[in-house]
Amino acid sequence: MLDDDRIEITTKPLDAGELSGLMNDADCGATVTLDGYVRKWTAGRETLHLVYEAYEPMAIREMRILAAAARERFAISRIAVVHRLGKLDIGETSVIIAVSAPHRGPAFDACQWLITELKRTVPIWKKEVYADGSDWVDPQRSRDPGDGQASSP
Amino acid sequence: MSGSDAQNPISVTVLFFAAAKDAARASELLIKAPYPATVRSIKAQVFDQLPEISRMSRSLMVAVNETYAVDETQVMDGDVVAFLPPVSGG
Repeated sequence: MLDDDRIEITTKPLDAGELSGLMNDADCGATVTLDGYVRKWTAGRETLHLVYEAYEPMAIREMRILAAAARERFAISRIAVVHRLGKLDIGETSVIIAVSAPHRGPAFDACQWLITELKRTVPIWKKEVYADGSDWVDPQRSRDPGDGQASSP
Repeated sequence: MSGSDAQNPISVTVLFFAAAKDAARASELLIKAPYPATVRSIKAQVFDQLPEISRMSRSLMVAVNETYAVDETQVMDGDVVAFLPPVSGG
């Protein structure tokens, strides 16, 4: 149900376990959670930290649109999409997506779909800060066979 | 409103984010634009005023009032037009 969704942008540290637990309800048999955190190495360069910024009202709006679309496409119950902004150190969580469902298949599929779409459409930007400079990440330029994007899940 | 009001220039708030904000050296710009205005005409005006932004033109998306827009989207008095570089959330 929409009231039980958590669609948020925050500057506070994120707790994937806590958010995942909030997605439980009696109709569900599984919660699938993505905990996306800052990676140290990207194409041989060492990241010192990341800085995230967002067009906040539009980002929330787009995140809500994605949650509604996921609910249409997949047989799921509760949805959490939470993104953190500001300065994040190595290992800190930048994004959590948690989806509960009666069955694990739709939960896995919806979680994967939500992170892919978030990275494609939600107006949030990250700046990589290295020892020798900093760059706003350009998703077109920084293709990594593992995940398609620098320093991110 | 009377017919003559429709010809007055409109006021538009332009927002810049991330690399566009660095290039513009500002996060927000208040502009007056001729009526009628579209995303295309607002972009042209901003690119003319800020050459550093025009250099990013091919990769910029535009939102009007927090919704993705296209070149043909109308822009009205009081609208907020945001210039969005390629997103990199997550």
